[in-house]
This record gives sequence, structure tokens and C-alpha cells, in this order.
Amino acid sequence: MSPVDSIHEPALARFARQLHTLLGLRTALRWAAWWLLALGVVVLVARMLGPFDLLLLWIGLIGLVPLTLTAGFVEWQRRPSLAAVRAAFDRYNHCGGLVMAAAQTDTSAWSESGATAQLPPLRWDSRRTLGLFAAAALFLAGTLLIPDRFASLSAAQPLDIGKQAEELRAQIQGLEDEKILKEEKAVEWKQDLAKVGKEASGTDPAKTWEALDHLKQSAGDLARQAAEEAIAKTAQLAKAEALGQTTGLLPEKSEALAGKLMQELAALINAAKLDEGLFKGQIPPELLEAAKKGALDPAQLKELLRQLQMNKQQLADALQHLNELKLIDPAKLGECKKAGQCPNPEGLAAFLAEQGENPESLAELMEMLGNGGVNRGPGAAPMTWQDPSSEDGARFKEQVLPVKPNLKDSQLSGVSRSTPEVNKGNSPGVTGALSGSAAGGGSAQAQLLLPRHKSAVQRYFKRETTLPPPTK
Amino acid sequence: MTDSTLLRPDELRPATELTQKILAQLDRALLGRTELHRLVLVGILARGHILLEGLPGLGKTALVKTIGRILQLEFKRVQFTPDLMPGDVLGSHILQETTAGKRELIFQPGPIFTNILLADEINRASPKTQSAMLETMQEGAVTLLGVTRPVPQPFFVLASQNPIELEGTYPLPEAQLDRFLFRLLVNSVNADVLHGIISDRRRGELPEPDWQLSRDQLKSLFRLMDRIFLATAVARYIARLVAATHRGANEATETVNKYITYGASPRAAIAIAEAARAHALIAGRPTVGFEDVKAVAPSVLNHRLILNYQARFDQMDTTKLTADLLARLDETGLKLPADVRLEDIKA
Repeated sequence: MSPVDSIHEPALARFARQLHTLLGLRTALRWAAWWLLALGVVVLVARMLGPFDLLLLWIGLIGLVPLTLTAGFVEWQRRPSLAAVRAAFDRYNHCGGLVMAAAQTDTSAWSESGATAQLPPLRWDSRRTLGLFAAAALFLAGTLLIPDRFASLSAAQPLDIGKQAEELRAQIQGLEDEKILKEEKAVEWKQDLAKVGKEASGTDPAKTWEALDHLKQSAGDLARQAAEEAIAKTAQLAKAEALGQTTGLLPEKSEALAGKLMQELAALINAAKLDEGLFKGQIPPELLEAAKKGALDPAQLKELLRQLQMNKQQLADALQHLNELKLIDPAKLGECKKAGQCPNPEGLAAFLAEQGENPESLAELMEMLGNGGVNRGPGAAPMTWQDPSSEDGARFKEQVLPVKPNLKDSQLSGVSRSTPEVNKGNSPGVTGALSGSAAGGGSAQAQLLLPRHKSAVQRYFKRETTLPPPTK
Repeated sequence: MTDSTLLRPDELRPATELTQKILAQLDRALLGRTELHRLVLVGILARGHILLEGLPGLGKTALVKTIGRILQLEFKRVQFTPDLMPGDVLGSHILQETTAGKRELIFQPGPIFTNILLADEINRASPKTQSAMLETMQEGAVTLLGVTRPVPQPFFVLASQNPIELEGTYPLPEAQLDRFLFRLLVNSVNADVLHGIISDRRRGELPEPDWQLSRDQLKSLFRLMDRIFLATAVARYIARLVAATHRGANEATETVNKYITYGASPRAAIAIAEAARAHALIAGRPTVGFEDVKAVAPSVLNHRLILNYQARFDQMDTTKLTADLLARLDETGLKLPADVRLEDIKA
């Protein structure tokens, strides 16, 4: 290496590196800009065609890494020759060809010349490239931020029922946990719910809402049925508990009365059907058997009372759970609590002791005890104001009113520009997607006919009917 | 055989001093022509012929005479006129009687057998006469009646032509123009120079040079010229520059494509390289740089470009075209993108 080389070679190498780096950065930025633009277009098209998967975006962004490396490699491949770099260095420093000649011949005799050579400053007007890159990045961000209602042009617009589906899934799980719903049925309902969520389409939301309402109603019916049963069982348990406590409070000489009370208790236990229905009791079988036969010793009676209280509490807890899941009306919960209240056993015991051994019906006494009413002495007379009406010829259909919605859990579906109309009539408020549908079913949406539907209606009535002509 | 090693400073310095002395003598003789003198010396060191173009009375003849005196070279002048015949320039055979009483054709050399030939108003002679000098300018020899006679070396033709009063003139053919290394434009001088001329010169007589270059010194300058190093990148630049004068070439500029019918010949590239070497020698550098090429290229190219009619309409001449080409063509060949550039050259 000649002395001139030794002076200029490090600077030349540094200058070449700067040049290559700058060109590589420039190319990488330009390629990245075009890549982001293309990615934005892909994202936009994907969002227009259907649901957008974020994975696509991540793959696109990760693709920037190999793209940058490729840009660097390509720029390295077509980097300016060292001779050209030397020429630029020579030209900038007015070396008069010495730096260029150093690559070909010995220039050591001229080492003093060009000793103060400097690196030629590189200038890159990056405004256009950076502008393009920024525009591409903004475009990509814009394609991600466009609301679905503007971005989605496909026939199958997605319908977000996530919140409703999640709530319904929790209800089904709750019913399954409480053993109200069988496991296989729960699995079937969950599959149905997943299918509804998958097929939810904004172009035909009524179908989705109808399916959701069907599942919700099925779950609600089952829950209400269970609640009714729980209330009935709770009432029976409360009576049994009262009788059991009354038996324990009777004077010692009232064996006969105690035996009669035990028979009544056995009748109540049998009527409660604790081992049947949606809520099966958890009383040990031998104790339950003894209670049904009316052959309980004091210890068993005490244990039975404990078990009755525990079962009553379990029923109350189950109803509380159902209420939390919004499957039953809070009133049902109150009803259950009321049913579970134990009548005054001390009063009943005193009354029975006073009445002696011939009470007509202990159960009726217990119904009356503590409930107020006209005191007509022993026995109650039904109060009848007129003859009972006949239900012949009248059809009644039981309809369970929907649970009053909690507004704090409501979801904004849209904002209307028009002034909301106040219903001045006294018609009851209707809720749910099935509101307004025909009684016979078939449609879950109440369509309001507008003037623009006139032609469609006319076409409907002008169609050729396939019905047979009326017979005379 | 040329020495391929780079000139050492101690070798180059005396030569540079000699060239500076020549220039000093020229500047002393003719006032206000520094750049012209430098280019003329470049042409001589490059052993090229020079076409001086300018109005009468600007000192063209005086310049050539002064050079002859400084270089101590034989100098002859031919005033070209329409009736000038080739024999008047080259020489002719004359029938003479020998001492033995026989008669034979004796060659009588013409004025071209000299070191420096001043062809004054060369465009006034007929093409036949102008072309008579072609062989001599290129080969350094005269062939008459099958006999080739070399002219003395070094041999230079310094021609002058008047750009006005073109009636009755014969513009030089392209082939002959191409043989001139330079076409130098001799422009008017300013008032200060004129004041100096009339103050110092009685009847315009030129002062005698107080220093002259010996023939040996001239030969040594020619030898050193051969050792001025032309780097590959500079040679490439010269090649690209000449190629770019052709319409449709890769690096041809917009003005070239628009105005030029024919570009410069390979002889132009050779001329630029040689002239750039001489320019570097005068500047005291052992290697040719881009600045040397840029300094000599306009004078080399300005008479080798054939322009079209559009150029005349747009008042475009070869000087402007060459300047535009030099400004736009990147010397280094870095081929940087349009938005990336090197900072301006360090002052």
C-alpha cells in the first residue's frame, strides 16, 4: 500500500460506508413505504370482504424486516464502484487525480498533497421518501381505524352479538351448575349458541336475534320452572320444619298429639317430594324413610330439622344464583324467602295443647297461623263473594312476562336522528327482538311499511295465486 | 517507450517552472490574454494544431510570432487567399539544369516545412489548398510525386480565421477541422488592457522576449508529458463525455439530443486526454484530474460538434452546448439517485 493510500484509505472506506448506508436506508424506506401501501390495500380489501384477522396485519408488519434486509442486500449489490468513490473523493478534495491514481500506481512521492482531505458531505433530499413513507403509514392506520360500517361492503356483514352470547352462555352454564339443565342438553345449547354466533349476519339480524331469543326463552322457562318448584318445595319444607319444631315444643303428656303431628309431618315430607324434580333433596335416605313413616325419635327429628333447614338454604341459594344470572324475576326470590319463613311454632304448640287431641287439620291450622284473617273460631270458612266464573269457552294462554331489563347493562345499537316518539297510550311497554311479531310466529321483526314499500306491496298482491278457486 | 512510474516532485517542478516562464513571456508580450496563452501552451505541449478564431487586429499573428521566438522554433507564415495553390504551401518540383547539363525536377520545399506554420485566414483559401495540409497535419509528412518528405519536428499549424466577412470564403471541411486540437476564440480586450497596450507599445511592436526555451528543454517537456498519469476514472470520464455528444447516447443531455446532428469523433477523446495531460503539467500535477479535463474540453469540442437548424433558431452554439454538457455530466460516475447528491466541491 502506498503512503497516499495509507492516508486516504480509511477515509475512503468511511465515505463508501456512509454512501452505502445512505443508499440502503433510502431504498429500504422507499420499499417499506410501498409495502405499507400494499398492506393497507390488503387490509382494506380484507375488511371489505369479511371479518378481519389481526394476524394478517402482524404478518405484514413482520414482513418489513426481511424487506429491509433485502433492500440492504440489493443496494449492496449495486453499490457504486470503489473507483467511482475514489473519483468523488478526489474531486471534492481537489486532489487532481492523485487519489484515483493511487489505486493504480505508487503515489508515495506525493504524500504531502491531499493530507488534509475531508470526507465529501452527502446530502439526501429525503422529503419525498419520508413523505411517501408517512403517507403509507397513515393510509395503513386509516384502513385499520375505519369503522366496520364503512369498511365492510360484503354481503355478509358481521353482527356483533358477543355480549348477548356471553350472557346466554353464562346462563346455560349456571343452569348446568345448578343441575337444572342436563349436561348433554347444556352441551347442545352451547353448540347452538356457537353456531348462532358464527352465522350472525348484519344483513339479516332478525334471524340471529330470533335464535338468540329462542335460546334465552328456553333457558328462562327452565329457570322459572325450577324457581316455581323451588318455591313450592321451600314452602313444604318450611311447613315441615314448623311441624317438626312444634312437635319438639309439645308438653310431655301429649304423646297422642305428638304422634298425630308426626303423621302430619310424614304427609308433608311425602308431599314435598324431596327426592324428585329439578331440585333433589339431600336428606339421608334412612332419615327420609323414617320421616315418611312418621317414626322419628327425638334425635332423628333434630337431625331432620337440620337437614330441612340446609335444603331450604340450598334452594334459596340456587334461586339467588338464577336471579344473579337474570334468569328469574327478583320477585321470585322474594317469594321464595317468604315461603321459607317458618310459622310461629311456639304459638302452634300452645294452640294445639289448648285444643287437645282433635284438631281437624294441622296443615290448615298452620296455613292460618300468623296470616291474619277473620277469626271464626276453630276452622276457617272460605269467603266467597259470588259464584265462581266458568272458564268454559275461554282459552287462556299462560304468558311469562319478560324480565324487566336493567338499563345499566344496555348496549348502544345506534342513534336516530329523528325525535323519539312518545307513546301516549297506556299500552304496555314491549321489549325484546320478538316484540311486535305476529302471534303465529314466522317473523321476529315488526316491519313498518313506508311509502317506498308501496310498489313491493302492490307486487305482492298482484302475484299469481296458486290457491284453488273457491268452491260454491 | 514511456516510463510508467509517476513523476516525482523534483522531476515535475523544473518542468512546471519552464511552462510558467513561457506563460510569463507570453503574458509580457501580449497583454490580457492569460487564459488564451495557457491554452495555446497546452496545445503546443500536446503537439496539437490550433485554430485561432477572432476579429482582425486582436493579436493572433503576434501571438504565433511570439511563441516561435520563445520556443526558438522556425516560424513561417502563409497568407491564405482564394488563388493560393497547394504547391504554394507544400512546395513544388522545379525543372533545373544540373551541373552535368541534364535537366531534372528538383523539389523546392514550401513554407509548410517549418516548425510553426501560421496559416493566416485559412478559410479564404480553396478547399483544395486547405486539404493539401491534411496529411502534414496528421502524419507530419508531405507526399509529392510519390515521395514522402517529413516536416521538421515539432510541427504545429496555428491557423487563424475571421468569423466575419464570410463572402468568398471556404469554411473548413469537417475532416480538416477535426485535425485541429483546439479552436480558440480570441476575444476583444477591455479598456485597461488597451490602455496598457498603447502606453507601453510604440506602433504595436512586440517586446523581445528576455528568456527563451531551448530545444532540449522543449524535448524534456515533451518527455515529461508522456509520464503525466491518466487515471482510469478520468479516462472513463473523457470517454463518457465524448460519447455523450452524440444524439441518443446513454448520457446525452436534452440539449444534445435536441441540437446536435453529429457528435465528436474518437480523435476528440484523444485530444482531450492529451490536452488534459498538458494542463496538469502546467498546473504542476503528476496526474490528470477532472478539472484539467473540464478546462480543455470546451476548446476541443467546440469545433467538432455539428449542430442542426433548430440550434440556429434557438441561437444555440457549441460553446453553450459544451458548457451545458460539462455541467450536467457527473464526472465521478457514481450514478447517485436524483435526491442524493454530494455537497458542492470544497472551495
